[in-house]
Amino acid sequence: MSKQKYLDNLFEPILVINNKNEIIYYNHFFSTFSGLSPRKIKKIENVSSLLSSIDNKISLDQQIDKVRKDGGVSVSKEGLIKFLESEETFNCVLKVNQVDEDEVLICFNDLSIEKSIYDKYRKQVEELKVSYKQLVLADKLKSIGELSAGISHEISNPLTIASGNTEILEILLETQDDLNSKEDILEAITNIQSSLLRINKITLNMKKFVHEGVKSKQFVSVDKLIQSSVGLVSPSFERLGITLTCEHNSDISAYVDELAIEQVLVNLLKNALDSVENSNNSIKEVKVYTSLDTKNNSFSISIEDTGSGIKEEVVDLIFNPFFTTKELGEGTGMGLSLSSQIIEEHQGEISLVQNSDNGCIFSVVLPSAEISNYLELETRNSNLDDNETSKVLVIDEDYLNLNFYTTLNEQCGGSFLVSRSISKSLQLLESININKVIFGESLFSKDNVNSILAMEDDIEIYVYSETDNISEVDIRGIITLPLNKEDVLEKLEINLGVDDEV
Amino acid sequence: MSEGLNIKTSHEDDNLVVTFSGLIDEDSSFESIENKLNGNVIFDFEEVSLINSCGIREWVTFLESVDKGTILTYRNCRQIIIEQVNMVHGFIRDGARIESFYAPYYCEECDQEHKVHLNVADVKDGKAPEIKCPKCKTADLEFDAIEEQYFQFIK
Repeated sequence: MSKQKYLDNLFEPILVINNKNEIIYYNHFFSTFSGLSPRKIKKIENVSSLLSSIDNKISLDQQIDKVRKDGGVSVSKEGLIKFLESEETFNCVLKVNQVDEDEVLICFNDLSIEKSIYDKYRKQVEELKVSYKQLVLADKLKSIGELSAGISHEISNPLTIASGNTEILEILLETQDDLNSKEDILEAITNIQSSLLRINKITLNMKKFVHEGVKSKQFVSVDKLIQSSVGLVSPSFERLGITLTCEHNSDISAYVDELAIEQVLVNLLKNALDSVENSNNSIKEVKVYTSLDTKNNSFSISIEDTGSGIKEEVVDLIFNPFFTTKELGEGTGMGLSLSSQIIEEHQGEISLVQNSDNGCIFSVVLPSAEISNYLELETRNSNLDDNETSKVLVIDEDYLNLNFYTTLNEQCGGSFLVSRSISKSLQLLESININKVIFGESLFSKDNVNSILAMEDDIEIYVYSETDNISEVDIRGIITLPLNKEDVLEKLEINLGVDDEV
Repeated sequence: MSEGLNIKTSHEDDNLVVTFSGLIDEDSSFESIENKLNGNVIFDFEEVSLINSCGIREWVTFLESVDKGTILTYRNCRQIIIEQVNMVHGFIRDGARIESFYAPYYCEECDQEHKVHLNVADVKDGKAPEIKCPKCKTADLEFDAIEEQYFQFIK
């Protein structure tokens, strides 16, 4: 055995067998590792009985036969083994190689600890994800809690109106017999209905805000996003006598997780409200405005307040988790941190662009809807341009239609790119090969079709059934409205993995 | 602290005895005794059932926190501890001593394994002492490990 003595210095367990598969040498660490004393190892007549594979991923016999037949080295898969007369299991890789004509060397790489730590790591990551979701929900609930005073005031107004009108109805029905009161009755009923609708809208908005929802993106008007967020906070602004103004721009659309962005905007608006409330500045105002950056294919939503600004020494900390300038128990310190995370997940950026004694401006910059949608498709279908799936460009201003196609992508793995403008569509055509184009009614015209065909003349053109003047253009197919998954795919002659109703 | 490791302290004359029981692994924490050990300290491993390489890492880190003037003694070291002591530098701090340990023996008559409690002083010239089987009382027990390797720590 002296020629293998040096192997005693190795930390890895090692065995050497002869051509009868008898163990002729094992190093010190093998005895420790296997738990087999020299006495027990001596009794093993054939190495085949040394260990058993629990999950059938390792076959020592096959590895030995292979190296004897073909020479070289055989490395097993990672598998679970246990040794003779022991219940302890090991996650191992076995390496077998022919040392010389007679001898085969067997090395054990024990990966049990790595696997155990990896499994614990995965479990902890899952637990962290759950904790994070709970934190997000807690932050939302806190926001609702803080806004509830204003919201309950907002609800009490229509409640008072509804209540007053039911009293009027009661009086009218008790005291009036003739038809002259019919108009008064109808007016009272209308007032009640509109009050109830208003209450319903407020509570639905709150419910929507708190609901976790599925994290999927949709096309949405940025104006609508801002209005929903403002709707939640405006009662609080009114109660405190702080002016909240919004500039409207109906041309900007976004492809985002609507609830997540709403959470960001509510956070920023609440922070602005607190800042103005606590400030001594005479002007008490918060403004929300948007701007489009066509050069960079992005847009921004800015929130400007007339508070006292943020102290310079903490400006770099404001996006850190758990950082707050509020008293203990008043702020979670998670608002800006979570907002930052949400915006980053949308490939955007949130920043403090202006800070002074007269107020702050926070800006959220997001990629244009078309770019967001393209990036999402690119992530889902790697090498989008190279793969052979039919790529369809939908040019439509109707949000419902656009979201029909993005949902089809998500559920069936389609490659529908969507755009709300001809100019953005032409930009997309510069980067990606499109086979088919669907025109929405409002954007269909001979000129628009020609500008598309000028980029690529063999693109197939499709329109919806209610589109006018389709005879002026060579149309490949007409898609029926309302949109239906089977009809769309059939008309476009596309086969997708379809399981769910869209 | 890992759900597998418990640490208890007691006094024995002038010595602080720290008894470990359970598992010493990646989840083990020695926080309860870190920076609290002074004078003569005895570590008792009688009830340790498992120690792995992550546990050793935690152990070595903990040892570094023990005041250099503290006199450490290791007592009732299980076979798994001795095996790690022989492989990993740092498990026994320089200057510390092993007082007693368990060694594997086997009785051919009874066909039974025995873990025999030995004092370090019982081992002469790296040879396992002769022990009678505690069960049959007649047969000499056979040392059931490689002497050169097992008693390395004594050198």
